[in-house]
Amino acid sequence: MTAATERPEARRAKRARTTRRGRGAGDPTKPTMAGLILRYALLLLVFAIVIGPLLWQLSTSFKGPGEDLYSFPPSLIPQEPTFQNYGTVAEVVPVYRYAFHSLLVATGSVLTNVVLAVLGGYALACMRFRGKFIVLGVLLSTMLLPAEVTITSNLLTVNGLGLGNSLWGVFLPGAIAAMNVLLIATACRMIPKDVLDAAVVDGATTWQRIRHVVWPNVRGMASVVAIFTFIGAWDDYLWPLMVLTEPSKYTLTVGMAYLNSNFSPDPRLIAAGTMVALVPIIVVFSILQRYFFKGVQEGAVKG
Amino acid sequence: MKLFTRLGKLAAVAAAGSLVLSGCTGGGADTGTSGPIDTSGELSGTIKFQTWSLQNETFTPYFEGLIADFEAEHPDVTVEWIDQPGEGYQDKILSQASSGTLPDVLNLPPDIAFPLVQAGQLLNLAEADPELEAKYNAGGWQAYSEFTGVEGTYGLPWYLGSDVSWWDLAKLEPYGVTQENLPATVDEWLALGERVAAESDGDVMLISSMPTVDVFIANGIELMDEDGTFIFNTPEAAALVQGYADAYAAGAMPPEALTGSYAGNAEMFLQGKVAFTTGGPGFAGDLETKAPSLLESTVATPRQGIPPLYVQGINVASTSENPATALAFAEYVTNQQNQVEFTTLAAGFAPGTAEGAEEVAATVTQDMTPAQADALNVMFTALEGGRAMPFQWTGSMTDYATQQLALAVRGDTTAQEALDAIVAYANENRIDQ
Amino acid sequence: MRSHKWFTPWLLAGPALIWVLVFSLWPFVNTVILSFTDARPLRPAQPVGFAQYERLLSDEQFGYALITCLVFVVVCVPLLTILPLLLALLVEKQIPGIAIFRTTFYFPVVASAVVVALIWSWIFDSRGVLNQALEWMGLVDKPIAFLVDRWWLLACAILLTVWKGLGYYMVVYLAALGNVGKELHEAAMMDGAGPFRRFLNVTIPGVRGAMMLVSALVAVSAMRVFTELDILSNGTGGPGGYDMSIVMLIRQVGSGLSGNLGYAAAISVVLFLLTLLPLLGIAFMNREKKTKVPA
Repeated sequence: MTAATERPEARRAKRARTTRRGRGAGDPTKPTMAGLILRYALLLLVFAIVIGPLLWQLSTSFKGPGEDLYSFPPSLIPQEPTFQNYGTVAEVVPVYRYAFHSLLVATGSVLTNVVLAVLGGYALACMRFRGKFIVLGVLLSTMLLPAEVTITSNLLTVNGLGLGNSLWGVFLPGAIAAMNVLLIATACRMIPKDVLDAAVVDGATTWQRIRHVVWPNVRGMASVVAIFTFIGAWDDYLWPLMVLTEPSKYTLTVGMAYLNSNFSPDPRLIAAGTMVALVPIIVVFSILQRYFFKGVQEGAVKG
Repeated sequence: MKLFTRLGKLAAVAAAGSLVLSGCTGGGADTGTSGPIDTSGELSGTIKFQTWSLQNETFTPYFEGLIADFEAEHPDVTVEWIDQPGEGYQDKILSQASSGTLPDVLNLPPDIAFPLVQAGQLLNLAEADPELEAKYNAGGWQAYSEFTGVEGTYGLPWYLGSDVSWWDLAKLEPYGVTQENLPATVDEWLALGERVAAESDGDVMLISSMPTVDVFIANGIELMDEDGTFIFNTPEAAALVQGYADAYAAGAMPPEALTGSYAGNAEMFLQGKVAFTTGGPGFAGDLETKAPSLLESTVATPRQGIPPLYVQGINVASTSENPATALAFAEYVTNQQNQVEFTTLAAGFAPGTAEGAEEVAATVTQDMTPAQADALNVMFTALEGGRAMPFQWTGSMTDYATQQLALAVRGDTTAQEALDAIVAYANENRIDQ
Repeated sequence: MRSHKWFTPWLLAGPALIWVLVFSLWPFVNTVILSFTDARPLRPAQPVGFAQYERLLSDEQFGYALITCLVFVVVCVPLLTILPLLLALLVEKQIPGIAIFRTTFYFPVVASAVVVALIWSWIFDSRGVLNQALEWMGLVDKPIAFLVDRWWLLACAILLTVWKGLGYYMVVYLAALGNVGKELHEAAMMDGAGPFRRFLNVTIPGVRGAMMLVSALVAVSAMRVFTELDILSNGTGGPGGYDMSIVMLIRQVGSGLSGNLGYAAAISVVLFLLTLLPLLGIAFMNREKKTKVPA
């Protein structure tokens, strides 16, 4: 994006901030009753499409050993409901330790990605320096490289650093993603230039500017980066599979593959395992969603 | 779940790439130890022992006991056991071979062993101890001895498996099919499939898998000539494929079978979608847990034609720092007593030793359900005449063959065209030249 | 206004730059080198010049893979640029229970590929839910073999991609919608603009930047589609391999201990060049628009 578009957007953002304060007082866009019903109907439709398949998997995980899984029409309510599958799956592989490993890697990735993306994004969006466009170009172009190309020598690099077969090795290449830097940079461009200039006039150091001006403004985008990163790290399979060689060090996804390939692939157990992988992240997300969506919606204009 | 296999393959591409980038540390430079190795002296050192997908409630105690006994016998020896997950094993082996960290003693099927043999990473066991051959199953021994361009034997047969045919008689009974008159040849089976599909109006399907090279082998069609050139685009093979195409057109084959995965037909059988599948003797256990309602009416019979032979072996890395200890341990793992004990636990497999199979069969079948016991006996009989897939047939050839044969079965191309394309592809991508 | 030392931006952006150079660019350079060799695993590689690229020109499989990817791009880009925007508008407003809907709509993004794989193969199966439903409604009398037909398979994979991608891009739009001033909507209402006109005249221009971003992201990931097609076709790429994507071809060619790494690398390089195309196109459109829209 060039300077031509930054300015009006920033201005619009500022205006949005002022109006947002007056929310609730006679909202003219308030929907009519019919509109509201239509809205809920649409919401419910999408809801059913999205949740149906996941519910089926959940119900499979509660089905007893005597139940035929492949009957039609599929029954969502188990006839012999049982928690046994969850117990069995934990006995067979240490799912909860694997979950802890995934949590460590995901949390670490979130921290480094947010911090480094804010620093880098700020520099790229708000500072002028020679070579800036080369840096931007490099970041952009690497987003296009197919994963299987990069994994190729990353394994070698990680092994060369002596981090093979460790969670550090799993974490390292994902410590900062180009995409996140660019996302934060986009948010930084929304910061009104005069606000930053004012901080300079006040004699604020670069660090103070980041801490007190940039951070509050990009917090929304940072929460988006955090969630994206967490999910990416939590669901990643290929890379941890390459790095980790001992089952005792596995992350959850690799552990699930291990469960599936090594132990009688009973779909009920697999369903229970996938639910162990799915439910925590859904719960975490559901708890944080308020901040997440709030951050997302208010985006760069949060004052 | 096939997904993991595929992701594993992707990982293998990556690992393979990193290997080349690393300048081929393993690339044939070091042919390692050669000549006889004396294992009778005092053994010492630490060796790594790698199994494939065998760490679980059944086998963990077995391996722990096995290692403890060996270590008790040789106090200066430490054996570290590593188990690798089932998926992505090739890629694991590849990265180990490329980084020079191949375990001293490891489990490799012949097709994965071949590239390592070519690169000089595995020990020639026939040379290390010429007396070994007599102790092992001939077919298994051969599978590790006929690698193109290299002399010698590079693995000790460990456990052997095969497939049997499974029939759902409850579905077939209304059409006059009983255990006594089940088809014994592929042609009869295809014809029955068409008849049953027609009479049941497409409800009962009998043809659950695509024609594959296994089927060609089973029907005695030679895959390769003496030089290793693929030659199976014969009229006989084309007629066979055409039989499948006719069955498909008659509605005797569910469309999903065209995706041709090995486990797919068993899965469809469990879902009640087809009335026939191939599978190891362990399939009876799957029936029990996944589709108990089918267990009663399912019977196992020998595969039509020549049965397949699946070979697993124990190999020794030529890069081992303690070759004598490694060899001694490899022999110890695969000796008759330990193999009999192992395959007794691994229900559905036979020991790779020259003798001992009867013993295993007798013990194992005692506490099995009749269905499992039948299947096991059928399979043990099949092992004697079984034929292994040639190691020259690679994964990408399988992929390509599946795609082309699916076209032929759907009737989009002729059987002969599909076979010609596959043979051309396979010859272009030969790995043994 | 210059308010920092010359090295400050380098310090700030340094870690990100170094990471990208080491973990993305360097591997890529390696791949380019590899593509000019006949590399195979565990064997020394010989340089072969452009031979691998020449082979690409006459490779039928590559032709099919290219068509598959292009269809994916052409269909997915509009769908995943517009549907998530509509969805974002639907959940943007604070009405009771909206948090539940928003959160749920994001679940498919969160779900791992395994869960998604299992479920959707089951839905599209010839005796699956979709076929059962179609038969029940009397739309078909024989099950449609969705997963073994070139175009149906492609359609199913696209559907799956959209299902999994909706929530992701919805969030990107939510972020952007936060920046669309409410007073612009109010002003438009005063002018008597209905919801549709407001959508066209206020919302769309307001999120134009986000739309460009989203369509670029969708185009790139569609060009690199792998998991969806791979899962639904059970790794075969459909009958004849007509539904193989380029990444699947790379896998088939280069996988295993006998893989043809040089050729796989050459395809990777071409894929990279191809992903540049949609981006350049979008950058170009962006530029065109910019000159026309008054600031």
